[in-house]
Order: sequence, then structure tokens, then C-alpha cells
Amino acid sequence: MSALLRLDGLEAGYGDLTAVSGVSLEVRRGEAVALIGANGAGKTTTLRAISGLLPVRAGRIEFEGARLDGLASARIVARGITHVPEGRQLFPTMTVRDNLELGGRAADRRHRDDALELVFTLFPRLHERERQLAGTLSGGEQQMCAIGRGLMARPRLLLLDEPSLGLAPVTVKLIFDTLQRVNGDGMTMMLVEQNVPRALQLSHRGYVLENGRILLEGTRESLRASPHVKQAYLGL
Amino acid sequence: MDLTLVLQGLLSGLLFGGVYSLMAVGLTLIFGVMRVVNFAHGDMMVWGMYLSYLLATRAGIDPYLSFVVCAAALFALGLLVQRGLVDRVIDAPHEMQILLMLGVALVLENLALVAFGPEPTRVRSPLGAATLWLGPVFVDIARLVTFVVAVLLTAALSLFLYRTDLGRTIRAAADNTYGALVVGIDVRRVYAVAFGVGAACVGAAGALVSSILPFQPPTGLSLSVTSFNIVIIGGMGSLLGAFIGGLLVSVAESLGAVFLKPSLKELVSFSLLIVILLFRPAGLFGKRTS
Amino acid sequence: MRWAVVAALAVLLALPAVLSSYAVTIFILIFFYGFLGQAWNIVGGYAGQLSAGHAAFVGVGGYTAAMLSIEAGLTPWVGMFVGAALAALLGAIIGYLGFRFGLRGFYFVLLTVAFAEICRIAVSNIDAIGGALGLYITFTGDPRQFQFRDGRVYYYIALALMLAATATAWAIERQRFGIYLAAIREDEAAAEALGVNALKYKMLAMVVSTFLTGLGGTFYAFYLFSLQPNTLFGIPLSVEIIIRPIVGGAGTLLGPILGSFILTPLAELSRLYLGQGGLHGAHLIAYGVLLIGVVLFLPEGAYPRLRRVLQRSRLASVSGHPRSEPGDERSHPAPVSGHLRSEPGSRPPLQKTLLVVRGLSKRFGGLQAVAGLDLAVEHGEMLGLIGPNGAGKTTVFNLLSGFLTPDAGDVSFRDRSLVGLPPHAICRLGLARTFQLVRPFPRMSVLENVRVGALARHPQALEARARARDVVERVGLGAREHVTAGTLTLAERKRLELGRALATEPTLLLLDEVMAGLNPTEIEPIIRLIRGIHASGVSILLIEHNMRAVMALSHRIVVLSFGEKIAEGTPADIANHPKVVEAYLGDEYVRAAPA
Repeated sequence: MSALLRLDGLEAGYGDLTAVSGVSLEVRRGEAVALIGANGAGKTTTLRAISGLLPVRAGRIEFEGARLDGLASARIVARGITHVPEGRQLFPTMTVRDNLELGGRAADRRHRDDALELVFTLFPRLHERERQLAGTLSGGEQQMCAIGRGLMARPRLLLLDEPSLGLAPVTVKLIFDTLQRVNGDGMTMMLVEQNVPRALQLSHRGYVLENGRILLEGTRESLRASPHVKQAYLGL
Repeated sequence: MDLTLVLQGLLSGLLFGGVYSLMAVGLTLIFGVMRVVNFAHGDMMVWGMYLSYLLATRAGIDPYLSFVVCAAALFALGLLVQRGLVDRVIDAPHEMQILLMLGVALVLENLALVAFGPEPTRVRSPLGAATLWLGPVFVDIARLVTFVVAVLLTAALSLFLYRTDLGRTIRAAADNTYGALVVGIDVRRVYAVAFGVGAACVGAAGALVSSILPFQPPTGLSLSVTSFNIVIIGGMGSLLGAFIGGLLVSVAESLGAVFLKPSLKELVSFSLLIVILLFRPAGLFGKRTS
Repeated sequence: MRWAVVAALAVLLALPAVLSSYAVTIFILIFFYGFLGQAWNIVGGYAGQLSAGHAAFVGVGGYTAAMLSIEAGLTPWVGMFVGAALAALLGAIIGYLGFRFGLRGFYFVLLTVAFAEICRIAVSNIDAIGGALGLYITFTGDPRQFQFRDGRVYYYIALALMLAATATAWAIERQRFGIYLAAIREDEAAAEALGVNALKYKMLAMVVSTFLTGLGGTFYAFYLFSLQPNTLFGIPLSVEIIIRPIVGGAGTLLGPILGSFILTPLAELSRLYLGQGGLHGAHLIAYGVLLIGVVLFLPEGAYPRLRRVLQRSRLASVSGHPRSEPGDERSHPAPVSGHLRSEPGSRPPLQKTLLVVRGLSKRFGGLQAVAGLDLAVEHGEMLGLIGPNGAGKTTVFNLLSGFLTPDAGDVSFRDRSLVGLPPHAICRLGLARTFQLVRPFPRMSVLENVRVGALARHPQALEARARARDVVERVGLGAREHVTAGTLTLAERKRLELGRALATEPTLLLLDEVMAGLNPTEIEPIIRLIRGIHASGVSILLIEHNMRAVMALSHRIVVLSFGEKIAEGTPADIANHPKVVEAYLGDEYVRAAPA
């Protein structure tokens, strides 16, 4: 199986702080890969670096064989990677429909309606609230909108940062069931999650980050059984 | 109290308000998108006025036609200023941005002074001094046309922002800059366009008033301050607020001139400004800025 | 450095003997604008509040003295101070309005501009004081009326004014007032948390600044013999006032003076050579270009850059670390002491329960961030506060330290309610905090940072510095004392943050995620440091995500989830508490046998 995305010795940070160092991982076509770890472990930093939202200080990022590090975020979206950021980052005074349409790539105008159709099928609730202002949606609806916006660009890799954050358990279930479906339809994903069981339920493989480095790597089963995971989170 | 005078003041104020609105809309667009306050706004407008003066006297073009050229020229200037200067301080503390734009204002104002001299100028109005009588009050045709064109331009801008893809992209960047980056919007390009459009607004506004209002280089300063007044009263970043605010401030100034000595009219808007600054810096329509 | 200043002064004093009267005039302007610039510098540079309407205070001072002279025959030597007092009063009003209503940056600039314009328009319309045409002062040459036939007298007066303003700034710089202003300028919220009453000090700066500026008004009036509202209250004068310190270096002692020496001759020369034929705006174009240039390439101004260049060349010949404080006092011997409390008996005895929180609640829009929280911290305890992301922990800290007001509930610290008190007052009562994202004052050294905290208990700058040195040693930054905080590593910044809070000699210390971002080798020493701080008698309430640290340090732990307390107990109780494991990891891990 070829790697769709490969990170090699990635180093990135904020100011003097190096948040991730020497991170190497890969995501294969069709997979769902989880990046888990405690708060501050460097998970969000890793995703931001991939999307070009944060400069890469050292290491390489390769997507479909081509180098990604150093490119502007707009170019990376054009290459086929979209990012569903932590905290959704929707456009609050604009409608759900506007938010979704803004997710589409400029080159994809013709396919916009098809993509919209797909999103509405996945999230019927968004269809109902099409004309509502995104800032007035509930937390769960906002997350759906953010994911939908990410899907509008018809990416080949979808990055999700903490999709369960701040959501009630029943909403989390809905979101993850939908993500399962999307992955089942062939969408490659990488997700950062604090909610470990949900993350592992969805993903085939996972990496555990601690203090900016990869502590552990494994399949869903091996990670579930590993005492290191509990240790990393609860410091026992 | 002479009711006719009051009505006249109301009407004149309203008509002139169209230009104030256009001016303020430009400023609020720039602020809404980039959170930068264009201290050179009034001085850019003065250049719009001088440009229309040049076109009228050298090329015989009527300001009610040349405003398009003025808008285009100022659009280019805005683009240049943004790309060359503002872009470099977009992440710097606000005080630095203020000082930068103040520097730009000084340069623009005094270049005008050097180029055109300190004497007040005015473009001979192609509509002459024609007036229209509506009962006890009269309307300057020139002002009426100015009002209509200004409102049409504001409406056109509105259409651009709400009905085109580029316009929507600009609104998105104003709403959530980080979100715009995430979805792959070229935010730097959006900034440049927004600044350019904001400058184009005052370019057009300048041309439109060049035949109604005598102007000289220092006029830029008072126009800048008036723009800030309007935008703060109406709400920073709110287009509707800028539009209504422009009309409101113009009417307030006009009525102020009726009840008080004409030289005190600015007193009204400044006092109003201080009140709004203290009690509601977000303005009438604005959201609370962080 | 001192010799250079003395030499320059000597030269300036002797100059009038050899200069032409025209040259004397230029120097008068240099000194006068240097004086106004320095006066502005106190509030605009040191306090960092950009006022663009300072001309109004020149106008108020000048008009007052002029009117008193014309109408009441009062000598301007006295009228000067009346005018200055009036200017200071207005300055206090405007300052209060701006600062109390939280106007920052652009809004504050606009407030000052609006105020100046209102003054200008008002004065232009009051015929009793000259109206739009202004006032004229008849020339009598009588020294008692502040008039002199010899221009050289004005020279010395202007020089004296500039020196007086500089001496004032110098005095402010060295005392708590100036240090607090610098802290406010760097980071107002962090300063508040260290006991700095930002409102009070900003107001004070405004009053001093406007008083001095008002004095300048009298000089202006009786040097030019005419006052016009458009000139005296107008924005062009305000621009002249602020541009010199900005170009020279706002917030530095010599910046305004250097700026005036650079810009005033420039303005005069361009006025001279280009002023004919209507090009009198040319010098302002130069101003504009300079302003743009300074913002883009020299944001701190000319003087700091110059000083750095000079320091570097001096370092080449002298060994030792660069001192960020020129002319430092002799350092006091600094014993490594564990005694960070003030002398016994200087404070009331401590109760058993230091902090009692009851029913604390806070809502943000639709989100209930904290819901009915009850907790207590006993004297001598280390209480840990944990919970998943978004549980409301930092909100609790903000509520306790006065950065947020609770919707409901009470916070009682040593039997005193804290609700409604501003952060600086809470700090002075003995409750200090650190910030989750560390907030050092970036341009100050380590020692200077900690000194800000020490000033809360030791108002004398020298003593505060000595105490600060103790604390700096205590937190392990002794070797980095003079390093600029902006260049410290993250671990060092954490220590600095701790030290700064410690210097306020708290009874209870709130630590917000101190371990965040640190690697394992850095965490152990910090744990030891916190233990040491606790051993010296400080009670601690800490928020942490690093479980290892929390378990190691805490006597008791409170667990929050979605704003509510879900568990409380000893570390052992908490580690295997099903609700806690569930909150963090979900129910699957609860079912798994504990390791």
C-alpha cells in the first residue's frame, strides 16, 4: 500500500517553543489514522504544519509523492488536503450554505452543486438550516458544518482536529458515525482526538504523541490493549 | 424657530449624507477586513477631488463622469499602499499601524500642497447653480445628482460584496481570518482588494463633491476625522452602519449649523463621537471588537 | 555616558555666546519641541498611551496665562502654573474617561483627537478670548511679564524647560512609578496580576504629562506674542509634538531630545529653502516619510538603535554581560534565602482555611463555563485542579484572581470577599497567579521582571531590586539575571513567571498549567521548585494536565468536567475514580483493570 501522506522528521513550533520534533508518520490511501495524546502533546501543531498554517522548521512532508512543506495554505488546499480545524472556525455571520460553498475550491465551480448535494445527504440537519447564520448553530451543528465545509473541496485527504471537542456524547456518536461512513466511501483521513475510544473506533491505526514526539504507534487493537496509552494520559 | 430652516437643513444634510456614507463605507470595509484604520482616508479623498479637478480643467471631463477614473486611480493607490506598506505591519501592534497611516496621510496631504498650492479650489459645476423648488425648500441639482450617484455606488458595492464570489470571499476574511486561511483563501490578495476598493470609494466620493465643496489640502484631515466619527457611530466593520451613520452625521451637522453658529457644526459630531466612544465603542450596528 | 551628557550640557550652555541670533532661534525651537516631546513621552512613550491631541494642553496653558495677563495683569510667571494646573485637570478628565472606559489604541487616539478638536472649535467661537482671530500680546520687553528683548534669555529658558522635563522623566524612570508604567506598556493584564493599579498610574502619567505641556503653552504664547486657536489647538501642532519622540525613541530618556535635534533643523531648513513659492509643506512630506520609515525599519526609534550600536562597540573592549540598566546601583549581597515572607508580625495570623469558594458560576453566552463550584484551600495545602480540556479550570482562576466577575457565588480569601475586586487589589491581599500562556514583560530583563512583582511589597525601587534578586536566585535564574525576557527558553520563562508571582509575597499562589510544553527533563526540577516554594509557607492551588506532576505535588485534588466538580479526594482516590477515568478516556478504559 502506498503512502498518501508521509511526514519525515517534522519539526514545528511557535516562537521559541518547539512543539513537535522528529515526527515521522504516514497515512495510506483509504485509511483513517488517529493522532492521540494529552493536551499540549503537539497534535494540533502537526496538523497545522501539514496544512501550511504553520511553517515547517525541519523535516519533510510529502503528499502523493510531491513535497508539501513550504507551500502556502491556499496551494495545499488546491492540492487536495482540507483541514477541519479545532474550534470549527466557521464564518459566523454567514449562512450555512455560504460557509459550505466557501469550502469549495475555486476551480471546482461546476462540481459545487454535486458536492453540496453530498454534504446535505450526509448531514440532513444542515440542509434544514441552510439559510441560518452559522454563528447561531448549536455546537454539534457547527461541527457538522465544519466537516461539510471540509468535504466541499472534494479532498483526497481530510484532516480533522478534535471533532468531538465540547460536544455531548450523543452528538459525538452521530459525528463519528458519519465520519465512518465517509471513510467507508473511500475518503482518507487523519484525525487528532482527545477522546481516545472514539478515535480508535474510527481509525485503523494510530500514533500516540507525547511532548512533541511519537511515543507509540500501532493498530487499533494494539493501542487499545496498550497500558502506555493510559499511562500517557493519566501519568500513572 | 423657523421650520423651513430646519427642513432645509434636514434636506441638505440628507443629500450630502450620500457622500459621507460612501466615504464611510470605504473606511469600514478596510477596517472590517483587516482591522487596520486608514488614517489617510480623508487625504485619499482629497486626491480624488484634485484628480477630478485636473480632469475637468485639463481634459474637460465632467466630474459626474470622471468619478469612474478617480475611483480607478485611487484603487491603484490603495493597492500600492496596502501591498507596499500595510502588509508589512499587519501583525504589528496597532500603534505602529496608526503611525504608519499617519505618515502616509502626511505625505499625501503635503504632496497635494506642493502640487496644487494651499488655496481652496472647486470644480465648476456642469450643472451650474440650478435649483429645484419643493414647496418652501429648495434642492441643489448638483447635490441631488451627487446624492443619487453616491447611493447607487454604495448599492453597487453592496451587490459586489453580497452577490459575487470575490465579494463573499472578502466578507469571509472579515468574518474569520483564520477560517479563511483554513479553507484556502488567499488572504493577502483579499486584503489588497479590500484596501483598493475602500480607496476607490473615496476616490469616487471625492470626485462627486468636487463641484459642491471647496477643498484644499488640509481638508483631508477633517474628512478623515469625520469618517472615523461616522464609522464609530455606525459600528466598525458594519456596512449598513456606515451607510446610516453617514446620513445621520451629515444631518446632525447640518441641523447643528441651523441651530448653532455654522462654525460649531463639527462640535456636534465630535461630542457625539465621544459619547459613543465611551458608552458603546462598537457603535450602533457593530459587534463588540475584542 | 555621564561624561558625554555633562560635556554636551556645557557646550549648550556656552553656545549662545558664539551663535548668530538666527541660530539661537533654531536652538530655542529645538529645546522647546524637545521639551514638549519629553512631556508627551511620559504618557505616550513610558505609559504607551498614544495621545494625538496634546496640542490642546499647550493651548489651554497658553490661553490661560495670556488671558490672566491681559485681563488681570497677572504675571505669566504665576499664570504659567495656573495654566499648567488647568491643563492637568483637563488631562485628568480625558485620561479618566479614556482609561476607565477601557479605550485602547485607535479608540484612545480618536478620543484625544476629538477632545483637542472640541477645544479648538470652542475657543475659536468664544469672542471673549479672541475667537477665531486669536489673542495678541503687546510687546513690552518687561521680564516680569515673561518678555525679553534678548533672544538668548529665551534660549536658556527653553533649555531649562527641556532639562526640567527630562529630569522629571529621569526621576520617574528610576522609581516605582516609572517601572510600573513600563510594565503596563508591556502587558497591562500581567501587570495588574502583580498588584499594579493600571488606572491610577496611567492617570498619574497623564496628569504629569499635561501639566508640563501646559507650561509649554505659556512659553509659546510669550515667545510668539500671538495665540491662534487653529495653530495652538490644531492637529499639526500635535503632530509636531509626537513625531520627535517617536522618531528619536518613545519611552527612552534621550529619544525626544535626539528626535528634536534631528527633526527641528530639518523642518527649519526645508522651510527656509523650499518655503518660498508655496512649497511650505515640504518638511511635512519629510516627516511623513520618516514616520513611515521608522515604523517599517526602526520601530523603537533612533536612540535605542544608536545605543545598541554603541554598546556593541563598547563590549568589544570590556568583558561582562550587557546591562539593561545604565548606571546601575551597587548590587546588594544576595544570600540564597528561603524566607520570602515579610517579617513575622507584619501580617495578621493565618486562618486554617485560606480560600473558600461557594456556588461559583459563570456563563458565556450559551455556555455555562463554571456551574456552582464549591471548593476550599486549607492553609499550607497544595490543591490540584484537574479536568479535560474545556472543563472550566482557567475560568475558575480568572474568577478567583479578579479578571472575571462571577455571575453567582462567593469567593472568600482570609475571611474577605474577593468578588468585584480588581486584580491588583486581590494580588495585594496575598493571592497571586501565573498565566497559562506565560506573559513575561518581553523587553525587560529577568531581574526587572521580578522587580515589578517585588514592588508590590517594597515600594522603594532599590529595596525591591534586592528582594527581586533573592527571588531570581530562588527560582534558579541567577545566572540569567540580566537577560532580556523575550529571549528566554520556555522553561526559563516558566521559572520567571513563578518568580514574578512569588515576589509579590503571596499567601496563596495560583499556578496555571506550569508544566505545559515542558519536556520530562524540565519537569522534575520545576516540581522540586514548587515543592520548595510550598515549603517556605506558600499555599498552592494548581491547574495541571500533567498527571504525573499533579499526583506528585497535590495533597488533595478536585476534578472538574463541563464546569462542574465531579470528584474530590487524595491523589490515590482520584487516580482510579471511575468518573475521572471516564471523563478523560471514556468508559472503555474504566472497564480495563488499573495498571
